[in-house]
Amino acid sequence: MLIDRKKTLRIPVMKGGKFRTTVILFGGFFSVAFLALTLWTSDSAQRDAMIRLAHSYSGAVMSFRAYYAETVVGRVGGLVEIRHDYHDNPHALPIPATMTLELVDYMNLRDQSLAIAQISDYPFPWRSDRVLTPGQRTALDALLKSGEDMLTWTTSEESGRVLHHAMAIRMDATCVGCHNSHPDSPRKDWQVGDLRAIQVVTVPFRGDGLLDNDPLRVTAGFVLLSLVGALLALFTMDSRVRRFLRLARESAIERAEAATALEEQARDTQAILDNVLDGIITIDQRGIVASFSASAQRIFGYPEDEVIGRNVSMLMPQPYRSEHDGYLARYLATGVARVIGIGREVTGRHKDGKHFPLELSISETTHAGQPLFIGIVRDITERKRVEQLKNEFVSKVSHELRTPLTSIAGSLGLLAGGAVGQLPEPARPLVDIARTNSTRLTRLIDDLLDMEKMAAGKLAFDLRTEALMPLLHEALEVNQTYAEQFGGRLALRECGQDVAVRVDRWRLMQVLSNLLSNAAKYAPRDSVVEVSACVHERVVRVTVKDSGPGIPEAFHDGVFQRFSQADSSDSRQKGGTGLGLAITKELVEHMGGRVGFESTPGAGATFYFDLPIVDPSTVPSDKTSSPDTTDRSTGNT
Amino acid sequence: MTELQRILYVEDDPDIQAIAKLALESVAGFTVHVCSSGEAAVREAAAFAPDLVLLDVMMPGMDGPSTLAALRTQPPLADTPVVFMTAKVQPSEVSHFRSLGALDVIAKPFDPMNLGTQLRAIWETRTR
Repeated sequence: MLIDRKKTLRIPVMKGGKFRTTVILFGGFFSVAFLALTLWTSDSAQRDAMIRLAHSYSGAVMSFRAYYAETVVGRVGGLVEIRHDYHDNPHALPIPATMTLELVDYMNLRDQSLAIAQISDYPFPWRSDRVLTPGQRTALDALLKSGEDMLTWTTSEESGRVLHHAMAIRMDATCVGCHNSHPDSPRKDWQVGDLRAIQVVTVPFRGDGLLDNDPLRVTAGFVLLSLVGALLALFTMDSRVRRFLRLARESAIERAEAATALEEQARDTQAILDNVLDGIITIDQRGIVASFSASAQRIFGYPEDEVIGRNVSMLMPQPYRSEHDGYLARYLATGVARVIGIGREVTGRHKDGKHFPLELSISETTHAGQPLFIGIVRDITERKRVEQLKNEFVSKVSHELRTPLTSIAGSLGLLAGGAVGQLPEPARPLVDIARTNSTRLTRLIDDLLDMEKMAAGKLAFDLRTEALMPLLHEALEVNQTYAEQFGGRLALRECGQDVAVRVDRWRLMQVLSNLLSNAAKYAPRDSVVEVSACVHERVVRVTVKDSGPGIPEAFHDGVFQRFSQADSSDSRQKGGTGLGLAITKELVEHMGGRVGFESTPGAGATFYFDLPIVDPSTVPSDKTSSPDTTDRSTGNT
Repeated sequence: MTELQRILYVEDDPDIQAIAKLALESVAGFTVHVCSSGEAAVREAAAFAPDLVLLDVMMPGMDGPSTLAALRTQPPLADTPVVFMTAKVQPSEVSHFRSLGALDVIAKPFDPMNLGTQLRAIWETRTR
C-alpha cells in the first residue's frame, strides 16, 4: 500500500516566497504609516510651538504699544508733542502706531528669524503706500467678518513653508478719541472694539523636509533598521520553522509508511497463521489465553471469543485440567519444564466434550517483560488412526506370515533332523535349501517388523549399563556356527581393558549379529573375521573386519540405506534381506552411538560402531546388568 | 527336582499342532495333550494335570493371556508353569507376557529339533 505523501499530515502553511512578500508589504506599509504619523505629529507639534511663539511675540509688541500709549503718551502728552513725524521735531515723541511700526521694524532687523507687520485697511496717509499681500488681505477680511481675534495660516515660499499668525488690534477708549479727532485720520467714526488693524507675525518652519529634521531622521532610520532586523529575524525563524515542519512531516510520513508496512506484515503473518494447519495458542504466566488462531478454533471447536481471557485448561480433559495450573506455577518457580521446549503427545478436549490426541510443543518468550508461552497444537487423530491401522496390519501380516512359516520351518526341521526317519540322500540338499530359505524369510519378516517399528518410533529400548567384552564374547559364540557355514571363523582381538557402555543388550546383540553375519558371508573361505573393541578417548569403537571383496566406491553412499546391497544378486547368493545395515545404523544411533565403515575394493571391509563409554564404576563386579540404571526409552526420545 | 514330562499344548493351527506334537513327543519324549483353543484348555487342563503349559498367544476366542488367567483361577493349575509360544517376540512384548505370569516365551517359527531342549532349559529356570 502506497502512502499519499501529499495528503499525509498536510499543514496549512503559506509558501515561503509568498509569505516573505506579504510580510515585507505589511512591514513596509506599517513602517510608512508609522513614519507618516510621526511626521504629522512632529509637524503639528512644531506648528503649535510656532503659533505660541508668534502669539507671544505679537502679544509682547501689543503689550508694549499699550504700555506706551497708556503710560508714556498719557504722562508726557501735555509736555511734549506726540507726532507721527517726530523725527523732524527733537521734542516730540511718536504716536503709538508709529512707535509700534518702527519697533517691529527694529525687531525685524534684530531677529531675522521672525517678521512682524501691522496692516490696516484704513492707513494714515503717510502709510497709504503699503500694499497688502493676498494672505494679509484674506486674514484682515476674515477677522473683520468673523470678529475673531486670531487667525493662523501657512504659505509656501521660495525659502520654505512659513507660518503666519494674525492678531486683531481693536480700538479701546483711549484710541477712539485720538483717532476720531486726529486731522489725518482716514476714518472719524471709530468705536471701541472696532478692528483698527491686524498684527501679523511670520515665522518660517524649521526643517521643512524629513531629512532636515534630526529626530525624524533618527526615528526613520531606527524604524527602517528595526523593520529590516525584524524581517531578517522573522525570515530566519520562518526558514527554521519550515525546515522543522518539513522534517516533522517527513518523519511522520516515514512513521506512517513504517506503520503501514508493519500493518501489512502483521496482516500477512496473520493470514499465514490462520491458514497453517497447526493451531497456535498463546497464554500468559497465569495460563490465560491471549490469542487463539483460526486453526486452533477449528481443532477445538471454540470460537476465539469463547477462549481468549479464559484459562487454557478448558481445552484439556481431566486430570490434566486440574493439574495444569500447578505445572505452570511449578515451572515458573523452579524452571523445570514438562513440555516446554519439547514436543509431546497429549490429549485435548473438544468443545463437544470429546477427547482427541494432540501433538503439543510449547516455547517460551517474553512480552512486555512478562513470560508468554506459545503452544503449537496439531490434531493427530487421523495420524493415530492410520498408525493403529498400520500397526494392526503389520501385526496381522506378521502373524499370518509366521503361522504358515512356522509350519514350513517346523516340518523342514523335523525332516532334516530325522525325526520322521532318514531322508533319501538326493532329498537332503533340497530340504536344506528349503530350510535355509524359510529361515531367511523369517529374518526378513523380523527385519521388516523392526524397520516398521523404528519408522513409527515404537522400537523399545531397555538401556542398561553393561560391560562390553562379555557381550562381544557372547555374540561371537552365537554367530560362530553361522560363520562356519561359509567356511570362515570369528575371532576377538583384545585391545586394552574392558569398558562399560549403556545399551539394550538384546539390540546390541542384534547389531553384532548383523555385522558378524554380514562379514562372514562376504569373507573368503578359511579367512578370519576379526572383531575388536578399542577405546578412543570417551568412546569405544567396535570393529568387524573381513578380508572379502570390499565395497565398491559407487555404493559407499548407500551402504546404510534400506534394501541396499552392492550387487542385487547378493540377496539371493548371500541370503541377506538388504535391511540389516539400515537396522544396525538405527539401533546404534538409538543407543547414542554412530556407525561407519572403511573399505578398499578388493581389500576387505571394516565396519565399526562407536559407543560412549560410561563411568566404569557403574559396571557391576559380577558383570551382570545393573537394574538400578534401567531406563526405558523409545526411538523418538 | 521333578522332571518335565507332561505338557499341555494349546494351539489353534492344526499344522503347527502336528509339528509341535511330533517334536515334543517323538523328538523330545514328552507326554503331550493338545488343545485347539483356550476354552478347551481351560476345560481339560485340570484333568490332564500338566507339568507345564505351552500356550499360543493369538487364538480365536480366548487368546493366550486370557487362557492363562483362566487357568490360574483353577487351584490345581494356579502354579503350573506356562510358556507362551508366539511370533510376538519384541523385547517389550516378552516383558509384557512375563508380567502376566508366563515363565518364558518361545519364538515362532521354532526349531522342532530343539524345542524339547528349550522347554527343559526353561523348566530348569523355574526354581531359580
